[in-house]
Amino acid sequence: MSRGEQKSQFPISQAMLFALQGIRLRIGRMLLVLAGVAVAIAFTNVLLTTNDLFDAMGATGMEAAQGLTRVPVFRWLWMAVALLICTTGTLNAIVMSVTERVKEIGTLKCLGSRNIHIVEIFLFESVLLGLLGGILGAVIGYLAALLNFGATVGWKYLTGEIALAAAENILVCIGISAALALLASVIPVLMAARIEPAAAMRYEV
Amino acid sequence: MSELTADISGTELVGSLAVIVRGAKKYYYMGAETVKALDGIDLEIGRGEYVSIMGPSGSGKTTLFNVVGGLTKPSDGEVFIDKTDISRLGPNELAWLRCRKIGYIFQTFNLISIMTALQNVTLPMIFAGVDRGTREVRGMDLLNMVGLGDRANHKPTELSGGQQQRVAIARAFANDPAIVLADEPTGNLDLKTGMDIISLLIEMNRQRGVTIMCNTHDLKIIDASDRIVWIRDGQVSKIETKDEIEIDVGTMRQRGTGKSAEEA
Repeated sequence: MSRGEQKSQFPISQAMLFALQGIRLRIGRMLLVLAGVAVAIAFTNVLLTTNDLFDAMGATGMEAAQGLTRVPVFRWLWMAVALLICTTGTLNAIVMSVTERVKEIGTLKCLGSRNIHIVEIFLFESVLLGLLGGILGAVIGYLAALLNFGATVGWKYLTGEIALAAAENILVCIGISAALALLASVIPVLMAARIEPAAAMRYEV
Repeated sequence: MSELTADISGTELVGSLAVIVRGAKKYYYMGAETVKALDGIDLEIGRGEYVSIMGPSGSGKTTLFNVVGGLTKPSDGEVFIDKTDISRLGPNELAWLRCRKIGYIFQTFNLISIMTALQNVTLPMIFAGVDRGTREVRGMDLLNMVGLGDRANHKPTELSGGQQQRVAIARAFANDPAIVLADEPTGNLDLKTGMDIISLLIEMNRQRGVTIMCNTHDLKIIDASDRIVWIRDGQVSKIETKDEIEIDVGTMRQRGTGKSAEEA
């Protein structure tokens, strides 16, 4: 007697639950990674937002800005390095999460999970880290850029209008963070998919 | 035996068999060396039978477990589980087979640590697509059956080894599998707890008519088995039926081959 659907099921909510629990079990390490992502994204947003603020200020404010011109090129390099490091951090954390759970993954496969179900768990774990770190970092970076601009160029140039226009960088940064988290999860997710169900019988825990 | 040597080239099997292994080989290649983990195994397991696989470590017991359990494909030969030739299945179909047809019991229990006893038992039913209400009811039934109804909401870390193995047994029976495979189920338990686990397995086998194949080198299990298959160097060295075993079994149980009324 087979049920209509001939493939094993695993609701998204269950995969999310596994991902959340996976993070919770390793909360200390995950918070560190989260902080790393947040710092890198904050740094990125400071650069992006500052740039936009200068641009939006137009010719009138340029005198006030004087030497404090736009972001020099080498800062973009720093930004790239920061993002690279935070992506590596996420990658590392998820790889560890997979290797620590080889036996559990094998067991899930024995119980009937398909590879895609295992992939979902670690994808969620990674993207969740990326999104949380991204949101945190993007907001902090935005506020820091406003503060920096107001303090150095002058608060009178910081109108609500240009602040609002630059706010779109928050979304951009969250997007960057989520995309990098996805990228970081490719390797661990492939590792998880390749684990044989027989790994359930490994002796070491 | 004679009817089995008849042609089974189709997927149709003799109805009374849960497992057929024919000439199964599993070779691992390590550099220039070939490790013959299974070297031509023939084995038939009837429905409702309790078969123990005995043999020294390294004899190929675990590889046989993997092959019969659809965890690895044999390098050569055929393995039928409940009329399905597993060598013809793709990964998703294998997952489905593992989900619906096979229950696994491990030496190290392998409960999911973040889930309660009840959640562990209902997990295979999630994979099988059983709705939530039915899952919980059946899960509680199974836990009651293994005597852990009052521990339903405990996590594995809050349970003793024997209790964890009981939960694992309930989990193995969750989707009414055609066969339950146990790999050294008493290996991590003390003598008394081990005996309890064995009697539970016998009870499940006799009452529910579920086929059980048990890897072990625990001689206590001999009592329980309908047949004992001895493996050596990747081959079957001898098969003994219960009657042939020359030990005092005490109160001999009637061989329950039929299913209980509610199962039908």
